[in-house]
Amino acid sequence: MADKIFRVNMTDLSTSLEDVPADWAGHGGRGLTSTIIAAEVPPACHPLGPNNKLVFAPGLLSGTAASNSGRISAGAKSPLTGTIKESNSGGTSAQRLAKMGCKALIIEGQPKDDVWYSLSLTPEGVTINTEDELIGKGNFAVVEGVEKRCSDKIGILSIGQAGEMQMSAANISVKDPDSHVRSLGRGGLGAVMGSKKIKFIALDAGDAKVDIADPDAFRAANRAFTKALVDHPVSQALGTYGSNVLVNIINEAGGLPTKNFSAGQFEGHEQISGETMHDIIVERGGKPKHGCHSGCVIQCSQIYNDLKGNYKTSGMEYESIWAMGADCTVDNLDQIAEMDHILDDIGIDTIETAVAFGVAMEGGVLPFGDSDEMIRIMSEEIAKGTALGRIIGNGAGSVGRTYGVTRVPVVKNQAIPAYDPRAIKGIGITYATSTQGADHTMGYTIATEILGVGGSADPLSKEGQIELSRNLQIATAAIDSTGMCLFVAFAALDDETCLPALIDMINARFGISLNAADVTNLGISILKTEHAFNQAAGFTNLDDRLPEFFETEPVPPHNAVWDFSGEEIDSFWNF
Amino acid sequence: MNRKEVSHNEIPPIPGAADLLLTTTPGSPGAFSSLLQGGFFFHTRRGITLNEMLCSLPGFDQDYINGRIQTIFIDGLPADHLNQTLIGTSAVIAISAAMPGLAGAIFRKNGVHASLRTSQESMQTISRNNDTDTPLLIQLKLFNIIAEEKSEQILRTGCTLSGSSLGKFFNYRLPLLTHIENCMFNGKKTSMEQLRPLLQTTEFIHLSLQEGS
Repeated sequence: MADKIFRVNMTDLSTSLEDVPADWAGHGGRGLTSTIIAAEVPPACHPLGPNNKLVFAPGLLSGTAASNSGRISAGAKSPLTGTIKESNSGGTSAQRLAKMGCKALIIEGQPKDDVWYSLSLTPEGVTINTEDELIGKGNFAVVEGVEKRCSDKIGILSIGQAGEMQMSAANISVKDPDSHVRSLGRGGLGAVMGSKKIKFIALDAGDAKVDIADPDAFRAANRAFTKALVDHPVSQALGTYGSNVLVNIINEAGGLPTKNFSAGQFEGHEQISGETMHDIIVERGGKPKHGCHSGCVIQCSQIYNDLKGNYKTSGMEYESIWAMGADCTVDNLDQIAEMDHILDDIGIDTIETAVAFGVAMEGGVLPFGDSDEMIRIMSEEIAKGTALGRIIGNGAGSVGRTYGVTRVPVVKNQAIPAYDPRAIKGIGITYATSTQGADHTMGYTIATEILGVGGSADPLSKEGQIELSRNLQIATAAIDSTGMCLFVAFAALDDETCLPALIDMINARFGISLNAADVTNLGISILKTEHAFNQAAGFTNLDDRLPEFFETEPVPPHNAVWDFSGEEIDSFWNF
Repeated sequence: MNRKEVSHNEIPPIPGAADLLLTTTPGSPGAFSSLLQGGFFFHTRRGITLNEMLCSLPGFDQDYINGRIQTIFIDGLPADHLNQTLIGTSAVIAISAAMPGLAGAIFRKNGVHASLRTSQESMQTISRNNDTDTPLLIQLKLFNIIAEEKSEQILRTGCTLSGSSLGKFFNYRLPLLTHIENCMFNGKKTSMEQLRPLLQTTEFIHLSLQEGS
């Protein structure tokens, strides 16, 4: 069965199945969402208007037995940044879409009336239904309600109240294998879904399976790939502590942004560290090791129980714990878990929202460390759409503008996550130059040498640092197209069999013969496509800058400042 | 030290440290392993290398140090070489396994992304005093898998902690108190209720864990 483009027009409520254009055939995940947005969305359009489109795409390997291949990408013009946006997540939707032969789901237009809808996808196509019962509900009630109506075997993409109210930090939730939710977190894509009046999308693939062109070659490559992942020490650390293992390390380096980026170390870091979280989870009968999608062999997620041993939340990432913890000077993991649960239910990005709280604390809206008030504001203000709730729900930039705060850690209006760029310069280059605003996942630790993008400049010079960051972003864009979790990067960095095995799997899946150079060219093409869209939308080199305070305020304990010039940053795009 | 030779050395207490012996319920000393993320203290000779210092610790051998310890910080700055000499009168050292993320790769010992670190020349470091004969005071923090694998043996052997750090640990890990069967503070049987205020006013405590039967 050939893959199709599933298209939904919410203006006239029509649907269609289309052949995949030849230009799109080699793309998946981020490569495909960005290619479609660049081709079909007017760059200057309003992100919440009828001319924006919301695109979902599984990765090239999603739906197969390839380890860690269950990531789904969503793309649109972002209401938070105004740039092109791709956000990806685990959960069960990538595999459902791939198995039903959906190369991409494109949602365009906008209903003229005030009626809410849901979409139902099967291998036969898309059905649009009106929706009343679940409007105004949080994501957990939506998942429960849709499963009761349909089946617990289906995939679900949904928005909470934040998406319905089109808040700029609203995310899209993705049902996971336990009927909890993961998030297409960053950039406000939930607001785009809300602007199209779609509360949820049900994905029923039935018994459909993905075709593999060369099953034997695929199995052999997957064995080698899986072994590289399982054997790698970073995978072992992630499986034990989750990504929150980074709290102690980044704090030790003086790069853990604390109290709205006014310091680089947090006195309460031990209370919120991955080590402490692991012990608490074990003590309460939770699961320190847990997969966000079937086929994950790293299992960096976890099930966190409350004091009574009942489920509270799952999949708390380092960046979320940092944002609600150190950035707001909250040193209580139970309070952070409560906030994580509330934000998942409302459907709003934990990083953006918590950084917005940090700015609000600086602006005197609430005291630093007041987690009880944070919980109240989340439940009673953001979820209900009060004026304060909407100010915070529209992100850190919104709070800074409203309350006259100058220390606002955003790039292209998206909150900077978890790693202070004064103490860790390499990440600062990524934050400044990313096509999608500040995002730590845009330049990951891919084995650039294997892809032939290792760089030629002196690695210790600023020129060399920018070249390496560029090459990391190129390689990351390519990996984001495969449906692979970025955590495969660590094995790819150290095990010379890992990346070739990944390319072998793509070749065996489609019966093609890509090589490393093709993968690199794919990454270059994606970055250039995204950059061109942003330029057409009005962005210039002056938007590739970190906030001024990083240059003028030394961050303790090392008192480093950001010292890259605009000219040096601009050289990033010389390729 | 031979690569396979495992150290069984004891870690000498900091002079003047109070003595604390906790007897835990059977099987539970491992539950205290994250205690050492806050670090333990000991004196060593100035001029010792990082490798020599680590080799002297209970349960450490050269293979483990070379293979498992992939991230090292000395006074908050990433270190690449085990033969680095420790100077001055004090040092805070943190050791960890290989870490995820670009940041994890940047800080990794001899990592290929080390060039993306903020240069140490542009970071303020603590001043060093090499003029005295006083021994070097080490605060050694064990993170993640290193803590899981090595803390129990160190805690059974005995190590010196700051009193406030131990007090804070018991405050946020209250359920662990149920695993403590007996508490001896400076040789006297003490309840945990009596102990906890004492921790806040005691600079150093040499803690040993023993497993009850």
